[in-house]
Amino acid sequence: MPRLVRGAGHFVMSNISSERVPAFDSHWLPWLLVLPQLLITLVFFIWPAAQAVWQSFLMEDAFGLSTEFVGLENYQLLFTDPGYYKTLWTTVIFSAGVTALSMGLSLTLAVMADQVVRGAQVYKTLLIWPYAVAPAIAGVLWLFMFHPTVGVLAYLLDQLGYEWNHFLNGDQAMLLVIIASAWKQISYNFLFFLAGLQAIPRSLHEAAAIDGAGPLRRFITITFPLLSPTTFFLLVINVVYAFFETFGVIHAVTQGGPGDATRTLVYNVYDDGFVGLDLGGSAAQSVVLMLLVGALTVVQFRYVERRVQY
Amino acid sequence: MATLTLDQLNKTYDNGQVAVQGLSMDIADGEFIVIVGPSGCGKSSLLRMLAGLERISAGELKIGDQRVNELEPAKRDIAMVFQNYALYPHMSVYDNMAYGLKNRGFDKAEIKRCVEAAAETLQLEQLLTRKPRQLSGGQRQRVAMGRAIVRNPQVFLFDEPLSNLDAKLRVQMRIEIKRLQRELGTTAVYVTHDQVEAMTLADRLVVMRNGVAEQIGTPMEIYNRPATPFVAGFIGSPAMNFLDGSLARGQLSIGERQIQLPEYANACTEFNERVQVGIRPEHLHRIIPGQPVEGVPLEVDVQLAEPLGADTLLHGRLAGTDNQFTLRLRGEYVAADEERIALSLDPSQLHLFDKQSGQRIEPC
Ligand SMILES: Nc1ncnc2c1ncn2[C@@H]1O[C@H](COP(=O)(O)OP(=O)(O)OP(=O)(O)O)[C@@H](O)[C@H]1O
Ligand SMILES: [Mg+2]
Repeated sequence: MPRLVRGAGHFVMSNISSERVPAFDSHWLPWLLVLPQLLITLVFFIWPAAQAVWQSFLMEDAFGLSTEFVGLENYQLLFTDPGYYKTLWTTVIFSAGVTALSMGLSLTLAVMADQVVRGAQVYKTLLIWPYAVAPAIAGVLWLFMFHPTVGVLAYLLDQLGYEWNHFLNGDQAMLLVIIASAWKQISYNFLFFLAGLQAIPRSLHEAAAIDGAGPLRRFITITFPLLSPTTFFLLVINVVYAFFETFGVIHAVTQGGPGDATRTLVYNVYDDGFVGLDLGGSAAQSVVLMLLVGALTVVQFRYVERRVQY
Repeated sequence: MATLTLDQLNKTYDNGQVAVQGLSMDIADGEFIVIVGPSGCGKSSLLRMLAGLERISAGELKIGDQRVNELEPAKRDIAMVFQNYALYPHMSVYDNMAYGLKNRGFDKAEIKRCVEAAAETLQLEQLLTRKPRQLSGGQRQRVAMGRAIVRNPQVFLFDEPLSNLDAKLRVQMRIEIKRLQRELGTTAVYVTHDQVEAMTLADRLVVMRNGVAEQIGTPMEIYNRPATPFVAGFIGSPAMNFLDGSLARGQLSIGERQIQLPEYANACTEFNERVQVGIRPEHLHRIIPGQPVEGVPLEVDVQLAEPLGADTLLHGRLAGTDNQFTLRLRGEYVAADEERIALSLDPSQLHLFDKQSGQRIEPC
């Protein structure tokens, strides 16, 4: 994933000279070396993507017996469906929640880890674990804790006089999938924030301390501005994650319910396509999503290319 | 503007490393103190204790009459210039200088006045809107200075502020720092391992070794009467030559050679017979054939000549021994290979150190 690597290194790489000596003499060797990557991209990305685009121009009858070419009709139906806009809005809320929660928590944890001297390694290792957990498992984990009848946390909330039942309450269901999805992303954000923090020279903090800035003021006026390249990079990554990579969590926890309270764009693609068997409509939605990811990636690339100029 | 009192300062790091040990001195108001010593001797640790960036493990530090051991850096009213300058990369030159004043709640007009005054002193007026990365090394150095003087603090602390500059700029900035400090009359503590900087800047020098102050004194005191062989070898360039010898009843023996030193007949310092003899390279003079010899004659077999322009360095061996010897002769001198040259030495410019205690032996 070159996208991630660029982000990680962009403040380190900025000094590397761009004058590289060509390493290859022959013309076919570079192609041979990228061939595996090209094949993988072709088989696992380009081909399915082309299939989706093709599929989005077709419409099947209710029993899947006949297929006809309908041009842009699937798109027309999609953009005139008020349900689709509702799903989009749900996705926006969900993504904002996941991004804010996971970035906020990770930054707090990273700032704390940056100050830990003893046991720092243990602390970091523990924080990295959630990343190794599969999305569906993460979902089930949180589902168990908040299950209205058997969940520990639901029981605790009940004892405190707060009734928790995300099977009935849409807001609670949204909160739960946000928490579960954010939890999974904390490790990732944490690592980048920590690397970003550690790249800030200690002498800057010391100079600011001598200049009369207390810890909070130092964070606001020195640390946070210097962390902004990392923050922006993570913002894009987290939005992409929340938009497109949280299907597993939602599927395990709420299946888009109750009602349509946690039905996001990606979940909608699955549900319309595989449950509703509207393959054409589902494919059209996938194409829209692909364009969205493309747009987000472009934003990010342009930003990283330009690099952050303080 | 204040005095500094260091009383038995100690620094022991968490890993048990002792960086500074029992350092005591009184620094007068407006004095320029230079701390010099080899890498790892604890110079930065000492400076950072003064700044409040490192906890003082033992001892007491006073600024003026106030004990400041427990005081945060911000409350000590000091300014520090870092080796890498530590300019805030996301702020303009103006904001870099204004930051300390803003944090202390000065009003806008006052800040503007102070920053502009400091910028004028350092000729930074044209650069105020630039970011640090748009400045040259020398200009960054100047901004770091500006950030220090703008608050008019009680004490300046410098940690090798010139070591990232090229040789010419270094001389220029050195002079500028000295001039500024004189003008402002601010007490300054300056860390360096460059002995030219040390000699030229200091009102008083502290020569450190392994966390201990080996000698504290004016540059000329230290040059003329180094307290230990370490100090003698560290201050002065090229380094002092050392020979082994023994001293008894006013007679110094170096190998076969006897030198009468009546003024040491009953030396004030107690010493063991075995001594280390120090001779500075610049204190030997060529004997011009035909002229009467003054002082002690010595001969050196030259192996290598290094012309410096005004002077010539000669490296070789003291005749008849294995001792490496370095000379500094005035003017150009073209030496033939393995040439033996005759030299004379004024015995009053010899330095004698007790071999066992490593202390200087004073004549009476
Ligand atoms: N944070 C620290 N923890 C443990 N030991 C340290 C720490 N900082 C410095 N030391 C050790 O303390 C000793 C003195 O270090 P210090 O930085 O004061 O040396 P210095 O005289 O400034 O050297 P230099 O000229 O290389 O800057 C060294 O042996 C160093 O390894
Ligand atoms: Mg140092």
